[in-house]
Amino acid sequence: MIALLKHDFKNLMKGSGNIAVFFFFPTLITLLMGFLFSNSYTSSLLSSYDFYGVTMIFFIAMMGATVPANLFLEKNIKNANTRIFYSPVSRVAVYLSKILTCFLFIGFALTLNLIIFHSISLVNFGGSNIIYVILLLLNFVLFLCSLSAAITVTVKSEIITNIIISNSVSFLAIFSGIFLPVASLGAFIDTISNVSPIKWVMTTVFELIYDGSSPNYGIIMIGLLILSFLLLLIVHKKYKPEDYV
Amino acid sequence: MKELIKNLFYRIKINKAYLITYLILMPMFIFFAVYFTNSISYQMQIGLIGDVKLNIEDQNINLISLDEIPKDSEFLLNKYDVVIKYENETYEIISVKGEDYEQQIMNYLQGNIVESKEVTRGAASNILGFLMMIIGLLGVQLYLFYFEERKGVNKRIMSTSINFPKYMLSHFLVTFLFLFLPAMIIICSAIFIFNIDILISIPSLIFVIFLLTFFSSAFGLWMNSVSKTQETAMSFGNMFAIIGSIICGGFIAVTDNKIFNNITNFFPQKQIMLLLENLENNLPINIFGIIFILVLSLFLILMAIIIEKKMISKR
Repeated sequence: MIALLKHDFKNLMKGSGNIAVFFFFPTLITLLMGFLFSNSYTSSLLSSYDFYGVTMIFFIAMMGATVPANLFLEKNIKNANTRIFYSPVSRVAVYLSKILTCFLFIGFALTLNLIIFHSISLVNFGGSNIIYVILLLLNFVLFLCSLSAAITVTVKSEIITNIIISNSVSFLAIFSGIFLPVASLGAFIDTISNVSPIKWVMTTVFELIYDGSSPNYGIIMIGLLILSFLLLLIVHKKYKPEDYV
Repeated sequence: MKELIKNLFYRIKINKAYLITYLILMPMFIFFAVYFTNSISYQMQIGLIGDVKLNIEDQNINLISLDEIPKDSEFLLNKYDVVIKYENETYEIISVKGEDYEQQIMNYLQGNIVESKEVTRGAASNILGFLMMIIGLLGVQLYLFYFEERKGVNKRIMSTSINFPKYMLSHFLVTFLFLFLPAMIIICSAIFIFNIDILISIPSLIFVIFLLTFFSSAFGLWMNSVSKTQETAMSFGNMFAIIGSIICGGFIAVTDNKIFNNITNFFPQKQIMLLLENLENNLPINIFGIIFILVLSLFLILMAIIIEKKMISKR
């Protein structure tokens, strides 16, 4: 299992894009958006950096949902994958190591960014509540990784998975209002954003940071865990190494 | 070149995954984009505390009666743009959007309706502004065959009488067609079906769609040619599409910082938004903007051809 983890991790690092996206993009995009909308947030309560620092980290986490798909299906690593299937390791270890690798990598990169933002006081993460924010972020990443893995093993095509995930993520992100300082985009879109998990998570995070506590924190944490578990069950049922030869 | 394009079409036809991507998923995303933007209405949410008498009959303003000042997080999540509190015969304005904004609201309450200086933003700007992002995303993602061929097929193709420009152009043309045609058909039919009142003529709308898809496909070709893997191309392409659309005002107008505006003027997305804005307001069109988009697109295609030529032996 550990050997598998190492192997998957190496594959993940091979794409130079991954490191850039998860380590540097959060900082870059936060600074950019913060600067752009600095006119829209000029009160003493928060600056635009406070707002976008939080939302962009979660946005990048959402973009990360394409990573597991690539680990499962990328053509370059298919040969190596095939060899692993024929060796005497359990099926569970194969897919679990892929999901775990993504989770650890994305989780680590984003947490690092978050802690850096916090320590240079660029973004307010709610003082001592930061630990809860990090836990929620990690939980959210876990949910996304299992979601992506579940879609991947169901659709079985790297291209379709990538196109579905990256486009849906951009849709959701725009309509959940994490980019724009606007209150409402009309009744129809409000309904959509209200059922999207990103909206729930963002609400909880901002409640944690600015109200000190969130009444829904426990429910959201447990809900995400249950959802991740259900998604993992789908992966477990549908993942057949033979399909990927 | 004809054969190459035919071959690409054939491969789309026989592969189920590609067929679904090109004929179902892509038009679906474009349709959603149009449908969603059509239902967008930027409504201002105003919370009222106490006995505030406002005679506002405006579709764009939603008044909500509250008992107490909402929590900070509700402001941050834009549940309310502003809350007006009436106590002891004075109004108090609460928001997180700064003094200028609060002053504007205050003026409005006192009956000084401020003439808005902003130019109108019509349906065409809204629809294409959002579509700009989707087209930008798809423009990079649709070069599926290009990466498939990288494993050696491309070398075999190159060893025939086909040269690099022809090879890259056929990829470009296929992607361009699959972006331009669905986008044009869907937008035009949506305008008729939903009876959207666009302020510009259909031919000029089609021309703007042409510019947008032409640039996106060119950018996609370049992005894919410089990237090692499709994943990398997609990550950077996605970022460019999303951030580009936002900073160029695809969704809402952004900061009026002069230096920043001068920088974004070099973004084709910005030029497209300006073009739309001028068309909608019957202002003279900036020909240089159009030429800039076309020249930049051609330049990107040329770069892609050169890079492909240089790199093919190394891949």
